[in-house]
Amino acid sequence: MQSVLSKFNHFFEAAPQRFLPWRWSIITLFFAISAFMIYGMMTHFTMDMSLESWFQEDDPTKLSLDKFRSEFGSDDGIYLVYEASDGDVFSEKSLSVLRQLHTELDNARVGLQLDGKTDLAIESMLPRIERVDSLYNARYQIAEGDTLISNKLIAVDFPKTSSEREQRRELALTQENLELSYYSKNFHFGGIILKTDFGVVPVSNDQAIDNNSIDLLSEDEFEADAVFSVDTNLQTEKIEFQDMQMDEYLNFMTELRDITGKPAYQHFNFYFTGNAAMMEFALNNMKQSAWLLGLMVLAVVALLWILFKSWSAVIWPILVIACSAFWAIGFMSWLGITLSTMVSLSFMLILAVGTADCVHVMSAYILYRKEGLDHRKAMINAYRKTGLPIFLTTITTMAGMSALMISDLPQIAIFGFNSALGVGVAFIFTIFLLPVLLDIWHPYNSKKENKKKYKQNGQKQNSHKGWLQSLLDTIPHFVKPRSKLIVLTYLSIFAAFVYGATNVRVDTNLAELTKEDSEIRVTYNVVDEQMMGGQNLEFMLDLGETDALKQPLVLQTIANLQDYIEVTYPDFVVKTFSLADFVKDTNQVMHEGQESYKRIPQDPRLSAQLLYLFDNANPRDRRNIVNDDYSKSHISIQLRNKGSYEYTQFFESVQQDLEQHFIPLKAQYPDMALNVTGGLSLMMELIDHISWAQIKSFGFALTIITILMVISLSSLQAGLISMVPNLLPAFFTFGVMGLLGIPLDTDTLIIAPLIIGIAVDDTIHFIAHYRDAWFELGDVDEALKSTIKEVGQAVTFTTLVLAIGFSMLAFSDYLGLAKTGIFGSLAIVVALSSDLLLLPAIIHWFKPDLGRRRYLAKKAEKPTGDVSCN
Amino acid sequence: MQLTPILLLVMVFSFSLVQANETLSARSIMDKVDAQQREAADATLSKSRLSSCSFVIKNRKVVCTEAPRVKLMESVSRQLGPDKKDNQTISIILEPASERGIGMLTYSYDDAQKDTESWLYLSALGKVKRMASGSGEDQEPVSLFGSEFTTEDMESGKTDEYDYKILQEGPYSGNQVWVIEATPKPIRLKKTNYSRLLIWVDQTRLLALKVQAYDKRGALHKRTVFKQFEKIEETWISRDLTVYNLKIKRLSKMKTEKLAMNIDVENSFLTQRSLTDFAYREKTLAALRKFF
Repeated sequence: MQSVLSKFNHFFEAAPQRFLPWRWSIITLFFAISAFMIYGMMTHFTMDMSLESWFQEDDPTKLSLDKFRSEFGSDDGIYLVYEASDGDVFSEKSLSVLRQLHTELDNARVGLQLDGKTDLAIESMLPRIERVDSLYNARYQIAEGDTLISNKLIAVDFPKTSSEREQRRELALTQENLELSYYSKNFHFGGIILKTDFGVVPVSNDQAIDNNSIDLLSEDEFEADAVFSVDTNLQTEKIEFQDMQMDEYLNFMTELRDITGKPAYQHFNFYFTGNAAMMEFALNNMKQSAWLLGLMVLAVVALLWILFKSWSAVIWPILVIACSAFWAIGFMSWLGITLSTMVSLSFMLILAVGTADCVHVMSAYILYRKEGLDHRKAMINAYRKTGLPIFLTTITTMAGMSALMISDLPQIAIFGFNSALGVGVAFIFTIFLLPVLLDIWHPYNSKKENKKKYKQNGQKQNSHKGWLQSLLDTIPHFVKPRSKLIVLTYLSIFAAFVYGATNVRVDTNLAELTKEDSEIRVTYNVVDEQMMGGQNLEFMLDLGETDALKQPLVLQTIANLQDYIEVTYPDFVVKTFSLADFVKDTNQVMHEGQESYKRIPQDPRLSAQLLYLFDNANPRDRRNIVNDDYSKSHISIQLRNKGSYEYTQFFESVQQDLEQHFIPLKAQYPDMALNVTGGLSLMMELIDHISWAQIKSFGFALTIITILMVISLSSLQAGLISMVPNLLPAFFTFGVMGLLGIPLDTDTLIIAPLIIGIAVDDTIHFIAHYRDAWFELGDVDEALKSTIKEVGQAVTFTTLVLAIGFSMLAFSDYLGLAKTGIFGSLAIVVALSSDLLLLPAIIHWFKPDLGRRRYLAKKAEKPTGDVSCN
Repeated sequence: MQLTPILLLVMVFSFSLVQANETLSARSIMDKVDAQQREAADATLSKSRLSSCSFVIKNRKVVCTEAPRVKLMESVSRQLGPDKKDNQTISIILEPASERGIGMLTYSYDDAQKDTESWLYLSALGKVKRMASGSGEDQEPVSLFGSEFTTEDMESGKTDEYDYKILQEGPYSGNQVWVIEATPKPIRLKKTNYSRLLIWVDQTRLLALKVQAYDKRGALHKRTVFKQFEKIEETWISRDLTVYNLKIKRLSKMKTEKLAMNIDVENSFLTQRSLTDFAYREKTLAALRKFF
């Protein structure tokens, strides 16, 4: 291994020399491939921003939601809550504003313009509303003597007087299903439910559009026989639905807000909930994070300039980083791989690793120039010192990222691959391209520097080198007498962090990841406290037998389960709806509205006949609740907003309740299948899954990195020692979160590998340098001094650049990203402190041999051999 | 909850007419097709079978993938009023067993100001309930007995609410037809599930052979195919119509098993008494069934 490494070392040392004669060919080749990749990016880049894209095709959660949607229609609508400024949704003003708004939304649904013209523009998203439901058109059902009245609450019979309005309010109060859905208990708030076709538009639908060109007199694609054969072995084809893209949600919300923002509706204050509102929020956040990412790049640019005082030290790294990203993304595009929003994370990683690579090379280069070496010599030395560590950091980061490829979430696997690719490309650029670029234009101008030196008359070195280098110079002196104290102090802090990390709660609460007064947070508070709750869950019931859902026993079981769920989980559940509610209500109405009949009738004939009424309803509405042969139905549960941690436990608990309640029916319906499903459960399963997948792959990456460190440093001791400063930043992040009670959310978890990647970089550079110096000098003090002097500056530079770069994310309105920014930059600083303090202290205390004896023995065997490591 | 007279289902778009000898505008063709409906629904007794199932297409043949769900019913209807534009219908369900005896009586009026009146009798409850469910713009298309047929598919007398256009003319399955496009006007738009209809009208008999309904996105949603044409009392009717919901791959077939037209119905039969008084109803129907 040793000889392999030294071969690498020779290779990197010789690289600048070897490639310089070919520099124009290299540059031409580089630009040609870059152009090709950018072209690929521009022409073949595809991005899937749908929630579904996170799941494999055969994922059971996704399949069960698909099944639900194909049976009962979309569960992905908008719940628009409005607050009347006069505090009463039944006031004259509120009702007339509602009439206007309801009508406008209903017109938009059918593409009807104000001038009476219709325009079902394909670009408009509002015609994807299938139904608008509010107090305006809500149907009530009451018995008056022998008459069964089922009318709309307001609609054409608009109340004109105050007593008429009060009469409607009284009427609304008698209808349990209207309360909390369409009005709040204190009448301050009202609700409008927009049912959409999101997620239920068949994939094949597009082909059917505009068949005007077809000869209308041609034969049909199938024969309409008078008699049909029946073959129960045949399966109806599975209908595939188009996934909803995030920009579709955004466009929908923009159009909706255009309407609600009109002066005519100023009387209402609006709150939007539902997936579309959530996606709008997420997309706006992403736009903001794109800005922050730009800010991050700017911060990196500024710091590079401040640290190196040379534009070449700014432009070349940025060129390397940008082109690494282009190549990685261009390559994926040419392969036809669909990327997700995680591509921005890949970019962040490439930025971090690419910056670190370049800074190490340039820092070493400048150091050698300052020692008086000429350009070529300084380059050779810089690459000899940094080439191998850069190679090792690349390999470890790539390995860590590749570990994500084992994930069963396709987007995570693609992210892992793309990031590994980008990091690899950045390495290739650093080794092959950067020397060529530096040869053309380099940061250190000897004439200028000499002039400066001359001016200062050798008394004082220039200012920035002064403070940093003199600070670094004090470290060995500081560490030497206190090595044990330092190690023990770090150890106790580490123990506290480990304890904290065991208390960290893996939890993502989307609303709570926003600022206190953010729109989404206020909305969820209002909707959860005043109305029916902003989240929804579905129990899918498949009894496996025709007409099963007309049986009193089945309906009673459903009703019992609803009661149980409402009583047992009052913190979660606001309301439940099912077919059983319809049967109970109709039974009551059919018995002159007597309260005692608000129950499931015992007589199966009566329950079937009550459902006969339901059969004659709008078929789409009926199908939303029960399928055609009454074998499948669902219970809708309206929930308050919670975090993924609580939801996941709740889902497991209700799944058990569901099964428990239906056990007595198992004998009668052996093919029964029960499921907990819905967009929310899909989202929560995803969040939970990502969290644990990340934790697992994080652990896996750590293991791989440790193994690689042991192998590459050819010493178990060195490998294990190097892992201590690597683990510290990670445990610092999780530990502080645990100690402060800050939940660890998905977004922070996704960034964790980035942090460890950067920490590992610094450590590898440090250990590799120390080992070389130790082998050469045989003196711990001297070796440490030289290491801190040579690597300290580069490590501090990269830390400064990346910590300040990452801290830009702290400005995000979205806590998921802001936390990443804060903890990320803190972790990078912690990594630096452990590299500069803890690592030297450990080395001082334990004085590890790191394989020097073996090295010396080999050297003695072959005095002229090539075992040199430096 | 309003029930459209069963017989109307069978008769929509399928009426005889004077020879179409001159070039007719799309609207006038549809008006004439539509106008025959009322005549045909006058004083009729019918027994119809409504079967629904999920289906697949196998070798261009339609195959049900499950045993069809069947409803069997008997209806009596008649037209009233000055231009015979008002309708009274009573329908009794014979099958399935759990719903046997459910009865529905409906009085509907041409005058838009006058609400449709209907009464429902649930045999399991033994009570008649008058149903009040609003009218006009508050009405939405509803399903007929949980089948794929909706009131909208079966409506007549609404030619004012559409714009018509002849798209094509020529031979279609052995008949000379016009293919007429019906686009809903704004007044219709909110009440409909469809963005447009295509109607294949037989030029000689002036009856619809096929109707296709398209959804809001312009995709084909439903196809209704009319079969088994018969000329009874100078009126062409179809005794077999099938609606294919191509979106969800479900069909419903309405077959008029027995039909008697121009029967003599006593005024007292189309009242609530027929819903509750089983003996009276059976006695009257037994007499009428002789006309089958």
